[in-house]
Amino acid sequence: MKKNELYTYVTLSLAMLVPSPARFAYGLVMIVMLNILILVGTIFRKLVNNFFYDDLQNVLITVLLISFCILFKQVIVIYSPIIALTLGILFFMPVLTSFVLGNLYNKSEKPLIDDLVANLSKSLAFSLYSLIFFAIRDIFGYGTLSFPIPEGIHAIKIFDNQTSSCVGIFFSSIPGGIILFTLMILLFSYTMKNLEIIATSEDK
Amino acid sequence: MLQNLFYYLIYSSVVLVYGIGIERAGALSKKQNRLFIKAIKMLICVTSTTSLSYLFVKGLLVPAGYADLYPFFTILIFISISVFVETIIRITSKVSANEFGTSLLFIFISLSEGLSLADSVLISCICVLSLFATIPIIYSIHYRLDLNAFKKESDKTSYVLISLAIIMLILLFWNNTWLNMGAYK
Repeated sequence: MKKNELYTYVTLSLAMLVPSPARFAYGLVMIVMLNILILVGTIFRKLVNNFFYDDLQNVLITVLLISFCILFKQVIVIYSPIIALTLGILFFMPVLTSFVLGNLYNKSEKPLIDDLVANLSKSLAFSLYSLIFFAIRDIFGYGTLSFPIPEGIHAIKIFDNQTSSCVGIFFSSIPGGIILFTLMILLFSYTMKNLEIIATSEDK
Repeated sequence: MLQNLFYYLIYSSVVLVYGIGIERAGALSKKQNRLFIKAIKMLICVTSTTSLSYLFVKGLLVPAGYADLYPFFTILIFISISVFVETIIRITSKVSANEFGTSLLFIFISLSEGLSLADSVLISCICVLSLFATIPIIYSIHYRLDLNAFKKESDKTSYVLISLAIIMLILLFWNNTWLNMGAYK
């Protein structure tokens, strides 16, 4: 992971992770949607490059991704109306994230398989990071780990009858979310810097 | 009207609490040339798209029962208006004021949270105002960090984010639900 990618993680976290509710269930739904959008967007970009004018690429891909968001929202409404109501406007946040992460602005010259592998590996790395983020917020904030079910969310209690303080629940709030992901990014960049130092000293 | 203004500007600021446009505010505070033209362009696009989409949705989609398809039509209207205004601005002042993601989300918020046409347009104006009111704050944090010899971008980013989180805590002083114990009882 290069330094550039770490900086885009800051932008993407601000766009998608911070505004969402702090439960693992909602994070799971949004990450599934992000992966589907990147997959569909990559395939559609290849189609647009082959059959339409280059100028129309961004417009067509955007319209397609927004249509998929609407479709996905209706599927979630059928499965669990409470989750759809809570997430509301957040269904449209992964569109911007998928544009930046999948690099869908630029034309691609590589074959479809290479594009798919590159984009899906990037999105899986981001999904892992986001799931850790949501899990920390859920476990330390509410003491539970939640999953989406048709009646809403099913919360599995992890900490029972603890008389601990309200420090943990701060991380479930929005400023707490910003501080949490800043700490995670700092940890990653510190680890990367040390790994680089080790790698360059081994070369010498 | 004042109630809406204070709600979307201070109590539950669109940029800070809804989380829309933080990265845009950060990017705009680094390159501050021609901010006024960008503000005017965003204001024109967002308000005109909101009003046209509201009338379209209320007049055509809601009676047909397809109200959930509003983002699709909104984006088509937005692209036409945005390209038109951007062409005029590029011809007259040679500045690129291209902006897509944040404006679109502002429009979605106004449409889903407005109670009437005037309400929706007012909310969209306040969204643009709150974005451009956050820019001086981020710029002043950058300036202060520059004075303290933080020259590299990557060092500054985490400090800017933590300062934003502290500002959010101050603005959200009325929300003490995080003092609840939750499942820890």
